[in-house]
Amino acid sequence: MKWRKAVPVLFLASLLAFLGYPWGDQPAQAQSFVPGPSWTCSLDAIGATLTRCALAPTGGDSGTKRFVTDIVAQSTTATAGQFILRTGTGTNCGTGTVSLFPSAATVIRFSAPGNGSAPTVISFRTPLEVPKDSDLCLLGVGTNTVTAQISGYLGF
Amino acid sequence: MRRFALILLGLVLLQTVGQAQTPGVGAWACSADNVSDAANILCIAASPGGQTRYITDVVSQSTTTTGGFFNIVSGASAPADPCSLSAGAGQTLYPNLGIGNAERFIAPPNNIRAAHFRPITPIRVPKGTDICVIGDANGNPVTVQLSGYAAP
Repeated sequence: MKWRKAVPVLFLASLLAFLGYPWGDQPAQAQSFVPGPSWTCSLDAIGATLTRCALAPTGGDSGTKRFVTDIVAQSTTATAGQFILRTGTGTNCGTGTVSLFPSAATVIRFSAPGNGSAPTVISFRTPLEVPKDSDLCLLGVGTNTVTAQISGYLGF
Repeated sequence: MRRFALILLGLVLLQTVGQAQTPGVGAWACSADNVSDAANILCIAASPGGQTRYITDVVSQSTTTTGGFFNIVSGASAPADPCSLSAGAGQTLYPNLGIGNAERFIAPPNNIRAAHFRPITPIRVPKGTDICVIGDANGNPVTVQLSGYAAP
């Protein structure tokens, strides 16, 4: 009789585990503000060469896309630089290159302020979507090179 | 046993709701680059599904070291004349001062941080209309990136 009572409990526990219930041992995930696994990449002192920040998701994350939620950019000098985010494949997004931010431009547009003032900080309400199987790259400017940190999550 | 079945049903429904909030559904983004005069430059056409677009992010920057003014407008969808305001369907969105008013909000110079407006209440775009950017007529073109979502 006791076993019969235990069956629903065991079934419920199995179902909760299947649905990903955290069981209290994953507090960081429970407090996450993003709907998927998070990622961050950073680039330092990027000049006028398109440079990869993050590869397209692979392995267990294959099939997902990167969503960009936050961008922080600053010049490495007292003079502002500018940047653009682009996507593509191959070496440093050199194949099938498509602009992401701003999407209509092909050259640097948004400011990375001089390092005597606050950086550009952008946190999107609607995240930017990196095309599936594409890497994420940044193009800066010579001399007043750009340091940037980009973060987001993986999703479908 | 009936209570147990209800709990199971509730859990399944919760999981279904979670999936309905999958990121990226209905999301859109567009950009208008180096908009240099008072022309309507198309950023994105009306939602093909007949849905209403909502703007959640406006990032703007001048392409020069002097700030440039801009407006975001919507208007009738016509390929040869995006955001046609003459068709009576157009309206200004940001700022919403009415058609014919001068550009008022500034895209900062390209040596200071970009302006990012992320309204708590998204800007509603009239259904079936394009979204365009009107730039600066004073020689300081603007680059604008918009993003948001579309919903019924």
